[in-house]
Amino acid sequence: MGANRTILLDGLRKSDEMVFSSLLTLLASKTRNNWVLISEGIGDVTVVDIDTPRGQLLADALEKKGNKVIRLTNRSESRKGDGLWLHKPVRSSDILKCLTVIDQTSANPSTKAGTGNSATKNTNGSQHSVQIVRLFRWPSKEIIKAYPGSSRLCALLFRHAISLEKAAALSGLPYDTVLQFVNECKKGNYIKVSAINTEKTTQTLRQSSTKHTNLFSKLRQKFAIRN
Amino acid sequence: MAELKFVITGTAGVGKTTALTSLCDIPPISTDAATTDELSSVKSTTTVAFDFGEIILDDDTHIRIYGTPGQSRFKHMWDIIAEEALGLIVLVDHSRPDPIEDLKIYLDNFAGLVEKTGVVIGVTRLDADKEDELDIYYQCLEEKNIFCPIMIVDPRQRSDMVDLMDALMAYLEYA
Repeated sequence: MGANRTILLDGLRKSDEMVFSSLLTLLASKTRNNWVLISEGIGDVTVVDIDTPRGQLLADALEKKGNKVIRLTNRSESRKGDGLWLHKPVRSSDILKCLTVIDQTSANPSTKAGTGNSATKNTNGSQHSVQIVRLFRWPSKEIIKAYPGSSRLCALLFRHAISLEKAAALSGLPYDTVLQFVNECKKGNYIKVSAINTEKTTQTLRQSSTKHTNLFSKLRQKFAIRN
Repeated sequence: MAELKFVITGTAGVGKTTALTSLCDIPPISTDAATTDELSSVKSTTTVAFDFGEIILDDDTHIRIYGTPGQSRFKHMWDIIAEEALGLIVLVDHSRPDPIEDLKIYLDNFAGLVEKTGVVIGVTRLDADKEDELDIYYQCLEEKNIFCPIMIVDPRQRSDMVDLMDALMAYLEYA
């Protein structure tokens, strides 16, 4: 398996997002790198629906900043040899062509191969690579005890596949703590990356229940649980 | 004011009463009697009504933890005990012949409480370094479309039971 790479979908219709997500999953074994969808942040590549004025402007702006952009359009013409294009309806062969070109021309994968799905954070200004992670086993007590407050992070990641940024925001833990915790969980094989449709992530993630927050806080104090 | 309570359940002899003793300030009221059925070769006494222990918080709030009787002939009491509970802990004895079947029974019988609140699973009589053996429990939960923490615990150890309670509270708040 190659490096982990991320795709952000911007401005796509819900139906196009769902199709893209499904086709990306099916193409997993055919791409050199491991491509996953992210719901926020900056992806290694952004797919932009340019059939709106906003989309056209966004695509141009992203490219000027040096980001890789795949333009999605229902227009029959495309600028040959100039940029990457997908035509509606989205086809797996077209997605594969675009990703193959990107894989071949890319010089800087977001993570090194062989380390599974390690979360990383670039130090280059405001850009950073993000991954969607999900726990599929509750981590060992040693890991949880090493990171105060991580039980609530575990609960979030156990139930939802979300980005580290979102996990940090919802759990109230610093991003770096979340990053370190996730990397520990990956070493222990408690975590995996899943490709999640942006819309689906937003819909399934619900606010934490605050009904008994005060009570549980007191109970944690009683048990001397570091939180 | 509604009673604040959790429920702990599991097969007879799994360690529910012991877990309550580990967790609670006021030890569980013992409703044990001599075991007379087939369980008598395993333990000399068994819970015949229910156990409950109390945790007293700093502001004098009392939280009760009810331990349901483990034998299936006391099943009629489970619904009564589960009513308005905050969450459920299921203890599973890994050394029993079919712990998965045991787990299914308790998840099914407390399905309403699980659906409404949440559950954590504590697996007893399993060495802490054998986490891989928890796979069968995760598979069971997946089949039932339940996602909840599963931990190896020793009910005699307060720290293990506290970890289980912490996981349950986190799950109730954040999942």
